[in-house]
Amino acid sequence: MERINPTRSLGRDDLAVFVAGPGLGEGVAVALPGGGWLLIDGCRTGGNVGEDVPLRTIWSTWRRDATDTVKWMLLTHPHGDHVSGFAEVVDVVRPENIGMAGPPAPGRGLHAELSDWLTRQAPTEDSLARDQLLAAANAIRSWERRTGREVTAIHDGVRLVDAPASVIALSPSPAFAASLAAESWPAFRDRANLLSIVLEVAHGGTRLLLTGDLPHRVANSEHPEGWSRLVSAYPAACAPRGLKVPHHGSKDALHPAINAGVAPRGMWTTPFSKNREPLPRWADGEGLSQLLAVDAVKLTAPPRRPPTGHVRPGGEMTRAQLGAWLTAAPLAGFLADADDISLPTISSALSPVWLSVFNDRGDVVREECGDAALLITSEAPA
Amino acid sequence: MPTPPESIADLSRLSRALDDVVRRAEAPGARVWVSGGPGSGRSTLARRLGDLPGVVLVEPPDADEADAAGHAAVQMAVRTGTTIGDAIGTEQLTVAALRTMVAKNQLLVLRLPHSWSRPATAATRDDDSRALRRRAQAFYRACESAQGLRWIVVADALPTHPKGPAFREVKLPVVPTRLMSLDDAAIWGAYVGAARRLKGSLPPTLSPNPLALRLAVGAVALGTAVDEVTNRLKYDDQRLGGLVERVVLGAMRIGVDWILQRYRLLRTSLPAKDALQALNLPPEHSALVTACVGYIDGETLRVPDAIRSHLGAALAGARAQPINDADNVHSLLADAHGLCDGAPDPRSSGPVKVGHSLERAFQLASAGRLGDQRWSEMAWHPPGSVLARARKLSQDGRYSEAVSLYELCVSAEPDNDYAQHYLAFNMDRAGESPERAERSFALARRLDPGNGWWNGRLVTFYVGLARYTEAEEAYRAARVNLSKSGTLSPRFSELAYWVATAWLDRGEVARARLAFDDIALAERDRRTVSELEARLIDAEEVRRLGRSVRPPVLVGAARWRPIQLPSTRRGCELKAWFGGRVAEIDGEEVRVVLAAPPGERVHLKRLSREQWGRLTSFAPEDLLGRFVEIGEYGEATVLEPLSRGESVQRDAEHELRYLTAWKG
Repeated sequence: MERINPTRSLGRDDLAVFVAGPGLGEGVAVALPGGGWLLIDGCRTGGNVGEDVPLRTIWSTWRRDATDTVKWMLLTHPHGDHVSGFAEVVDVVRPENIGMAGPPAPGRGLHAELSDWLTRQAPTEDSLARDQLLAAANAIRSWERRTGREVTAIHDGVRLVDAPASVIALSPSPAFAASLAAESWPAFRDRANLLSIVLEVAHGGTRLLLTGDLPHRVANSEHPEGWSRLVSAYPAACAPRGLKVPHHGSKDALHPAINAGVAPRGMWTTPFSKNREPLPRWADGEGLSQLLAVDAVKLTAPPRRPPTGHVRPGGEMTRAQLGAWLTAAPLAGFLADADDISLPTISSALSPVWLSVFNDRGDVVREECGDAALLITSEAPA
Repeated sequence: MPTPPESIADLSRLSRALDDVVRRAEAPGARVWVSGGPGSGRSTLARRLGDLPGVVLVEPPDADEADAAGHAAVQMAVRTGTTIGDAIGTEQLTVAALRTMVAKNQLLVLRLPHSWSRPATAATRDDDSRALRRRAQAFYRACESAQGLRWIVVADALPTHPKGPAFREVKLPVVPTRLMSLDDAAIWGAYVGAARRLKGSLPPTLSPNPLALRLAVGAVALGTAVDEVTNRLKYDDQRLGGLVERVVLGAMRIGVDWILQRYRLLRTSLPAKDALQALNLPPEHSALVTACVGYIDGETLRVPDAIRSHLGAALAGARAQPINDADNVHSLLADAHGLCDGAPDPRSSGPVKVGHSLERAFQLASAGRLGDQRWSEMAWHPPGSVLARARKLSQDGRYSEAVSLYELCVSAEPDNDYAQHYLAFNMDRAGESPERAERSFALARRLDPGNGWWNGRLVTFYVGLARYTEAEEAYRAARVNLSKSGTLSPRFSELAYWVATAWLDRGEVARARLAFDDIALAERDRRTVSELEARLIDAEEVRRLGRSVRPPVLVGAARWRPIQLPSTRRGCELKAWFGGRVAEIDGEEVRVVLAAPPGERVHLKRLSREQWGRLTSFAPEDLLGRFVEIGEYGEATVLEPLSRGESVQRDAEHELRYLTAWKG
């Protein structure tokens, strides 16, 4: 595992993927061959103001020259955990286009989410997410006013970039986006992951799949607007060389067809630490073991904060080692059977980041990661 | 000059002073400053000067009233016979009136309330007042710049150091008080008992000034000990503030401070009958207004500005509850001034009545919806009253209407930073054109870079629109604008407070911390600042832990100290405790997030209903979302709920004002 190197620049023709995820939220930055960037969603780490938003730091560090602008910023779905820092990035990078999942009025979902949230009391953990969502919404409106453009509704079939690499949206389906937007908001929010934008980035023989939080199963049943629709409609796209693993590697997000066939494959996974059992889960039969059946998993950060005194076995470790590192000895007293759900401590923007650079034949030509990132393998490292 | 029988002051010496002042003001370009302490008869002298031929008397309201400069300019224009156009600005009008006055060799007598003497740069928490005082000062400077103008300033201090020829000062002597008047029930009404008690305790050598004496009677009547009042009169009768404070506290004690608040809405003399009808006072306390904080002079209720200005400060300092019928009182006062005026347009009301006409406009402007119709029926709106009306509409949340009026103000006076700022503020509140709001916010700051509010609102405006780069630039500029020799002005703390709040309202915790740390340590104990600090500390903890486990109101050592759990219970000591919150109920399972002090790691505890029932008698549904404390005592574990903690109510409509295009 090579440590990420901010002084090593990108080539003009590189297709580079940066995946950032500190434990809550995720952000993806793609440097396109020939110039131009896609920035997707957002997250935030510790660190100084202006240096705690991974996508901002990534773009300002690796942009190839002054013309290397952000062609698109995308909000895959209106959930608070994907939006931290989004407003700041919109303001700083001044993207040419902004896209959100949805039918022709994509901002409506954000508005509905916010009005619902603003009218009720919420603990600070919720209000911080709400306020970042509000900031993102205002940043997008300010961008619309400044540029005279409108936010683009992204759905299946929208082509974002043509050449030399192409970027096409595969999900959500327009009909489904329209039907969700027509629903009352609380119901909508619970199923907002289904609204996730899924993008295929293609460059020669290289295909990457960027997936948001799109699930395969909802409430233990296969959902027709989840991965099964994409696998059937776009079988080639669903066999990518690089996969941003959907929904933090949860078992319900993994479709067997996507999760088979192509190896070696870059599989970047961002953790989600707030659950009792954080994602991706490392127990047998859970998401991590399914992913490892294909290839090693590039995890941007540990799924929870390791217990005090537990020493990291190294950047590269097996699933079993990961479990041993993160699992605490049982506590005494009232906490005896409680789950430790502490967030990992991430102190700088480039710590929870994986960088993979592809050529146009599907080969990874450069791979680096930040100091919080992990490579999880099925076998013990040599 | 005969002494009115009901007066407590012996004004006979004023005649000599009047002759002296007139003689000194005869030469072309003469400048005379009539000074003197409270109750020295300055207002009476000014009025008598105003009765002389060839004299133009101008009596503006307080310098921090929205219409101060405009009021003065229109008075001057009408009294000099200067033509007033429909959409004229204050400065233009002032210059035109001054030219007329010089051409006609008229003598200007400018009677200035105490507030005009405070420089616009004086330290204040209120940068609104600072801006309005700058407008007033601009009027005064225009008078200073008028070549050949003969003028007399009647004020306790001059507003600026004159650039031209120096003023010749005529200092009015202390007006003797007729202590015998303290027995006069015709003066003191229901307060005559208090007046007599005071008289009985005054040493024979003591001769307080008339205003101090009036306040002293009021303080005694409202319950302050006679000895305390007498002592104050002995040692501090020139400064009225202490006596006014006692009157206010006494009034608050017996629940009649509303009388003082109503009275303060009256800015200038009115026929006593009309004024008292508008103020609608109870007979047992009408003397508070007719003999103490104001007084009857013939048929007129006089409003001494020295008392009125202290009254405002004392009511604010004592945190008196604002009255809820202020609009109605303003409306009635407008009618009362209207009875004295009768003209539909202040321009045609003539030199004698123009003061009432302008007051009527101001009172209508301040009367909210009760003034709507009469305001719209006015043939012409004096420039100062337009600003006052715009301000009132803004305070009442009628932002779009306020925008229309502020537009009028800035079209007449583009360099009016106050109007530019509030044009922008109201546009922002109304969710109208952020581009135009931004221009006006920035222009106001350019016109007065030292104004903390102008600087701060530009920053928070950018924060609200998520324009991070510009917000940070504007904040850096504000630090420069409000610094002297590298040290931040004390006024910067308020700006930093608002900026920190704005960042926190956008979930920008680290940015909020940077701004918060710019608040001076001396300000941290203020209630609003400590509440913000509590929110900030809570947000920082939540960022670190990912969960809310303690109420946001707890700060410092109290944050991780048990609140509800006793140190011992049934003979057992508290051996371990956790702060937490009931996060979810899923069928039979209750989930509590919790952390042990000092809150470094957070855990999720799942409890069956049976386990829950062993901890507390509350039903879990009743505590869902609530903060709790869990304590271990010997073999027993207990759960105690905490109050929800104050949370910030958000105004959804306001927060989403720029997103209405997405509303659908």
